[in-house]
Amino acid sequence: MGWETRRGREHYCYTRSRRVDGRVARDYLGTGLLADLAAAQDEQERRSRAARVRLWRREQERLDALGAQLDRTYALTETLAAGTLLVAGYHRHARGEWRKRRG
Amino acid sequence: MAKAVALPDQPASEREVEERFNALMRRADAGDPKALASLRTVLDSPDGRTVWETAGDLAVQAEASLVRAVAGKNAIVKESTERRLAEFKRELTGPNPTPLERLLVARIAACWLHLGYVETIYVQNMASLTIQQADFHQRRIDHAHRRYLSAIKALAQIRRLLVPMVQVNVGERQQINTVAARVVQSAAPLADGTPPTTVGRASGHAAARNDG
Repeated sequence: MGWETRRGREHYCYTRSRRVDGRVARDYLGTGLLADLAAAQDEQERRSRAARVRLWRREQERLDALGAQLDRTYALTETLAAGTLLVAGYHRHARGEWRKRRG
Repeated sequence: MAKAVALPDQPASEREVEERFNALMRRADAGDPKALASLRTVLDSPDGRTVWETAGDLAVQAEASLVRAVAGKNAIVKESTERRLAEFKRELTGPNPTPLERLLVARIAACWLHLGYVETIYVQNMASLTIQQADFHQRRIDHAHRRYLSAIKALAQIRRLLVPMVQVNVGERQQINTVAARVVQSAAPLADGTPPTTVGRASGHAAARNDG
């Protein structure tokens, strides 16, 4: 979708592509008022889509950061709990259940 | 007797202490007696205290970030979330918690808040999400849910394994096993005139009859 340049003319023709039954079909809107309106509409849609993507990425990053902070807290607490159990004479059987060490 | 592995004397950053502690843990877990002796020493040393403090600080920071995320700039939501969190922690902590229990409860509270938050975000935006975005949220909810359940399991495990059990013989054939830290002294004598004895909370003791 966009303005085509042919024979040195920059805004020769405005085109839009769409998919019909799995094949790409291109609409030629020419020049003039209709083409200008279509170009402005498409540009607005592109900007709006880009803004939505940016917003979604920011949201993902925010949730990732929150999750990472919790992960670190989680891991350190887990380490301390395991350390306390080891010192109390327990051991992890086959990396699973904690059992009292014999002897 | 196993000789403790000495840690370097120079002050170390929290990360370094944490890494050394983790390395020691791995060796102790693998059955190295020297590492186990070291671990015992380290847990009571300044380095050990650094790890405890770091864990406590991280839990506080994580909680604050979550409250900020949930409440945004709304002071009422912030206040009510903080109050609900404090109440939740009070319910779970119980009387006389150990530092480890407090830490585990703080972790459960943070995981609970995080799970509620990611579920709310998903429900609020459900109608406008693409399939990929919905999938991203679903995976995040699943992860938060697993983490929450695992945090609860860890507290239950620590309480089961580390809080000492006391066995009290009340009658000839009856025994009460009760968690020592939770026991209260009953004031009144029993119906048959026997002196008061130690009883546990309804949820904190198990009675068994030996008829053999």
